[in-house]
This record gives sequence, C-alpha cells and structure tokens, in this order.
Amino acid sequence: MTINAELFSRYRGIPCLPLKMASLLDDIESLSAMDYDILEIIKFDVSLACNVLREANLPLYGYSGKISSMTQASGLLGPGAIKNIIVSAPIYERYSQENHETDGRVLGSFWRHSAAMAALAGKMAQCLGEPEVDDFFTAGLVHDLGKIACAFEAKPVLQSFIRSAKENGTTIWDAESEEFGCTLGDLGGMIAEAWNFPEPLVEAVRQTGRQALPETKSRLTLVVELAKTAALELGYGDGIELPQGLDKSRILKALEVDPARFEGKIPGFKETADQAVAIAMD
Amino acid sequence: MEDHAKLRQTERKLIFDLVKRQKELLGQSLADLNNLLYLHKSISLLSLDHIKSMLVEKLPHILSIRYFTLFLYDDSRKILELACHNHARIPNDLSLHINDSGIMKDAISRGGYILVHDFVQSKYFKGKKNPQFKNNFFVCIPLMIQNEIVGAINLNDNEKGNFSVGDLDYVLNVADFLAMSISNATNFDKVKTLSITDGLTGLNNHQEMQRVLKAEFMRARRYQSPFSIVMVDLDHFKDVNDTYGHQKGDEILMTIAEILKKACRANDLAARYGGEEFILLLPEAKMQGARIIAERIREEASRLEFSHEGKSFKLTLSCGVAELDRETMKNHTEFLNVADKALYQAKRGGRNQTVCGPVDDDH
Repeated sequence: MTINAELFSRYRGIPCLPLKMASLLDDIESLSAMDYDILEIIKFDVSLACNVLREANLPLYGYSGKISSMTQASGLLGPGAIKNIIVSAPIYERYSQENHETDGRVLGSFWRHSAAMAALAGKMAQCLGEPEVDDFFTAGLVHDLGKIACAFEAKPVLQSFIRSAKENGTTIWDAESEEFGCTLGDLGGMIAEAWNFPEPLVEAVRQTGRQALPETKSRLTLVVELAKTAALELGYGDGIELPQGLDKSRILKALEVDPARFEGKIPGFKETADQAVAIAMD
Repeated sequence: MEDHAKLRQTERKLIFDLVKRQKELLGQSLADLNNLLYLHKSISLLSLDHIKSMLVEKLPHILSIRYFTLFLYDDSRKILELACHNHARIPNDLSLHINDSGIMKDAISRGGYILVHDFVQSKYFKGKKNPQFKNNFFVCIPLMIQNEIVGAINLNDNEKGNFSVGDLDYVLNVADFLAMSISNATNFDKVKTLSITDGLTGLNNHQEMQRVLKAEFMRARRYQSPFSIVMVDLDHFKDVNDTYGHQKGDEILMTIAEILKKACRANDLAARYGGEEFILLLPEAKMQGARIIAERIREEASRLEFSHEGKSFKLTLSCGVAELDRETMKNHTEFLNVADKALYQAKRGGRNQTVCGPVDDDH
C-alpha cells in the first residue's frame, strides 16, 4: 500500500464538515464583506483555516510563503474573499457508502483536536512571551494536515498505519516510517509546501511528533508538541488513541520551562481548550 | 447497520440543503460578478459625459435600485456638483456646499458608507420626505481612489423594500469601479486640457493653434467661407521685463490674455503664439470684422494702467490682420505669413496700430 504522492502534491483542500458548514452559512449571510468578525467564526476550523492560508499564500497576492497566521491572511485577503472561500468549500459526506469506514466520530475527533491544539499552542506561546502568538495558534491548528488529508483521500493507508501501530504496540509515527518510509508529518509537510505555506509552518507540520532530539526542533514545533501533550491529557486527543511518543519533560527542558510552573497552568489551558472546542463544534 | 443507514439519510438531507444554499449564494455572486463586468465594460470610457449617460441608463438595473444621484466633489471649494441622476424633480445643475448635505458630509469626512434603514428617524432627516420614495432606507457611499474622494453616490428604493448586507457588499464593489472610471475620465480631461493650454495665460498653446488653424483653413477653403486671423504683439515688452521684472511681465501677459478671451466669439480661438505674441483665429470673419476686433483689443490694452512699486506705466500693442484669399494662399503657412508681415508693418509704422495684410514686401 502506498501513498499517491502526486495526488497530494495537487491536493486542493480539506472538505468541511456538514454541521459546521450549516452554522457558517447562517453566520455569513448576516456578515458584510467588510466585517472582520468573519475570522472569529472560522478560526478554529482546520479545513477553512487551511483553505484561507492556501489562498493567502498564492503568488497572486505577492506574499507567497509569508502568510503564517489567520490574522495575516484575513488582513491580506479581506473578509469578502474569506466569505467566498466558505461559500465555495466542498462539504464532506461522512456516512456515504464508500466513506462508511471513516465515520463521523473519527473526523469529529480530528476537528476537536485541531481546535484544542490551536487554542493551547496560542495560549502557551502567549505564556512563553512569544512575539507572534498567532503563528503558534495557526501551527497548532494545521499541524495534523497530513493525517487529515490522508483520512479524506487515502483512508486505507491511514487505517493501515493505525492497525500496524496497534498490532506492533508502536507509536503511529514508527508505524508510518516502518511501513511506508515516510510519515503523515512528511505528507502534511509536502502539502503545506505545495500550498506555499511559510517555511517555519511547513517545518512544524513536518516535525511535530517526529522522534528527534527536542533541541533540533524549532520553538514553533516544540510549542505545538507541548500543546499536543496537554491536549492528550485534557481529553482532546485525535481519537486514534495511539502512543504519540512525545516526551513532555524533554520538550519543557528544551523550551526552558519549569515543569511545576507548567503544571500550575494546566487548569487555565483546559479552560482555553474547552472554549475553542465549543466554538469549533458549534 | 440500521443506525448507519439512518445517519446516512439524515446527513444526505443536511448536505443537500447545504449545497442548495451554497449554490444560491454562489449563483448570486455570479450574477453580481456578471453585472459588475458589464458595468465595467459600459463605463470604461474616457469621456465623463458618456460615463454619466451610461450610468443613468444602466446603474439602477445593475444595482437593483430605483433612484440614485451621483455627485462629484471638489475638495478645494468643498462643493458637491450633481453629475447624473434618475430623479424626476432634481435640477441637473444642482450644486451644494458640503455642509448642506449632512449625509454626504459624514460619508466623505469618514471615508466610509452610511446606510440608514429608516431615513425619517435618522439625524439626516430635514422634515420633508421625497414623495417618490416608497422605502425608508438611504445609502450614501463616498467614491474614493486610494484616499482621495472623487464624489459620492446616494441610493434610494428598491423592489424588495430593504437594503441587506449582501446588497451593500455588492454596491461597495460597484462604487470602486465607479470611482476609478470617473477619476480616469476626469484626469483624462485635465490632461487633454493641459496639453492644449498655455500654462501661464490659460489660452490655447501654439500646438493647438496650429491644429485649429490648419483645420479651419481647410474648412474655409472647402466651403468658401470667410476666415481671418489677427496677430498681436506687445510693444517694447523686453523693456517692460528688464525694467519691472519678469513677474510683472507675466502679470501683463495674463491681463492681455483676458482681453483676448473676452474678444472671442463662440467659435473663435485665442492662442499664445510664443513670448509676447498672440493670435486670434476668427472663422466666418471678413477683414473688416477682424480689423474691428483687433482695434478693440489694441484700444483696450492701451487704456490699461499697470503699476510697479508705486509707479504706474502703460503699454501698447500692435496687430497684423489677414483674411484668407483662396487664390493666393495655398496653405495655412502662407496665410499666417500675411498676418505676420502685416504685424511687422505695424511695428515698422510706429507700433500701437493695426495693419491689414497683405502688405507689399518692399515696405
């Protein structure tokens, strides 16, 4: 079983989930094309975030490879263009005959996880005093791009990864590498690159969860990984329920964060994640 | 399996409804886009008058509104001039000071649209409602190019009776197109005027004079109609410049230009020929009429009194007149030469006089 790399290099975007689209269409009919509140209604949706970032990084607008956050993207494109992206977004039929194996529960978990990751990565960046909090937020939101794309376009491959990891008791990352020689992170990185995402964001998508020394990873990637450990602890995992192989203490050390201080902030992180998930799954 | 079938059925219905809504919204966007492209093609014109008539004809349909007024804004005078409209009772030459229209004043000073859903209840209402209006909304949108205001457009009434955010989004896009087209046409007019105008005196420049002279010469020959020209030269103007300075010299040139402008009839043309020399092109004028005009100019100029640092002084000018003679003048240059020689003769004869050509070369 192989991943059709060519298919993903031409991948046009992640479809929207039907329930989310229903509330979005309700909202946008009352929003003007000059109303920047539009960002509020899509900022936790991984599918629309990817579509907006892809559009904003098109060479047409002159900032290809430079737009790393939803705030920048909406500033560049304007609410009118974002409205058009929503109206023209494909909608995924989760329970069709051919999709029945990828049920709504799994996709729902992916969406929840992405929203929680965005909120957590953003909040952690803020606590760490990072200057570009929005970049961390966006990286958290889209970090699973490869896995989500695979869930839509190559379900058997994803299922095979999961099966293999469960049978062998390994991390999903190991399963991917051993079976296919590349990982879902690599796949996400390839898509992010094809969509002209900025290099640090591509790197975060590619490296998050990779078994490598934390010191070799960017702060963006490390914060996303730290957010991932928190998301798992707070019950906002991706629903696959496989070991992620993330070493929280080493990540904290690499980020020079006192573990006790970090643990003290967990209730605040939980609140942030809860709010994000509530908005995302509205 | 039954649960799955039920889920599938429920979701199918949801997706069907969603796609239907998306299709409606996309359909509306496409219709708006088509209208926008059509408007763009219709008003991609260089003449403001043509743009105005296009807007009167098409804008109400394109915006789905019943009434509109479009004002052009002159920021230096703070005046709004009605450019076009489709109201029955508004005079075409309406001109307002910006303070006379609260809604346009606010829209222009804020640089943003004003949408009032109930005009009668708004602060802009002055106690009298237009009986033609069936709806209560009022929209005013400033027409802007970058940060420069070129005008404002006001919209009233539509079939559905209200003005939605979708309507507003579309109108704002249209307003951008309007502003660009109007600005282009206005700038084109300005450039056109500048290219044929002498910068100092505001008269036509030499190039434009040559073009009109050539055209009028051909026309007069073809239709055998009279055509005269008057060449005017200020006497001892070099001395004026040397004595009173170039600034005073420029002031005198502008004053003489005003006399020439006043002397022109509807189809006449006054131009600066170069330096202190001017020319009048007088289609349909015979020698006698041209001579009268030249003398009037000369006399008026000689009566003028200029002053410099408390001292007053006077100035005279000389004129050479020529009437087109189809037998002897084969082209406009020969025609011009006759007037030039007459002017030379006037100078040689003591200045402050009018001489009619042709004059004998020996003189």
